[in-house]
Amino acid sequence: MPFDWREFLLVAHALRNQSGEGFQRTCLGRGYYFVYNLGLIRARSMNFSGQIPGLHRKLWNWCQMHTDPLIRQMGVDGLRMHSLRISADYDGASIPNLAREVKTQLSRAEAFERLTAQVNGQAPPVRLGP
Amino acid sequence: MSELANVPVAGPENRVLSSTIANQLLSLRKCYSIADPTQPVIDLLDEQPALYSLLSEAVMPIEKAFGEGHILEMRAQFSDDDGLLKVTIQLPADFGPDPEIGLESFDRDWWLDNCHRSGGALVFDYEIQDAV
Repeated sequence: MPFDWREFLLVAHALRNQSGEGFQRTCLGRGYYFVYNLGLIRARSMNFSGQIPGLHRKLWNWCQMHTDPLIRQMGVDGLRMHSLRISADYDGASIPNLAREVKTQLSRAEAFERLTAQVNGQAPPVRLGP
Repeated sequence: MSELANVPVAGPENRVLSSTIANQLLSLRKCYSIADPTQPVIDLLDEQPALYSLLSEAVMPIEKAFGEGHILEMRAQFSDDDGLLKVTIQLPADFGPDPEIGLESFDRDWWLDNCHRSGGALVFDYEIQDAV
């Protein structure tokens, strides 16, 4: 049975109110990786053939070059979340307003999930709540 | 040839720039604050030539979406295997409207029609400053 990447979103959601920068940065990363895998699965189903290295940027660039505006929106949103994940995992400098960034990242992850459902012609997923 | 040809740019690298990139940096600095170190920003501008025109064109749509007078900070970000140029619209702690609505407006009115030119190397986002 394939791993359900939504578990990453659930983990991020469960950790979102934990104090400690490590928890908060983990939320930014797991929230992004949920979206990345959702986007990658969708793009692979549409013949996206990008490979490592640089697969994250290749994926979102492929989406941004798509003729369907919904797929382009996936590319814009995904790259935005990728950027916050880079800050979380590669930048030792303090992230201003980290709690707010976590809230934004998780909200964007859920919005991305709804967008992907729309692209797939599926019913919108259940929201996780505040 | 421009008098800016081969102008050394201040910074720890102090590398000699082509006149094109030097002119682009001068022009961009009129609207953007470029975070140190500068060299990774220069490298991305060099790698993706369309970024300069996108950054020049983006100022008006940003002002339309968020209002005028905000600092626009530009910085390079790198992970293990890719790099991005990130523009952050610096918003005050007491910024009134929901900034996500401003961002959606920016995307809808301009960025979604132009993002295909960026090579997946350009991100626009906002940052709310900590209350003092």
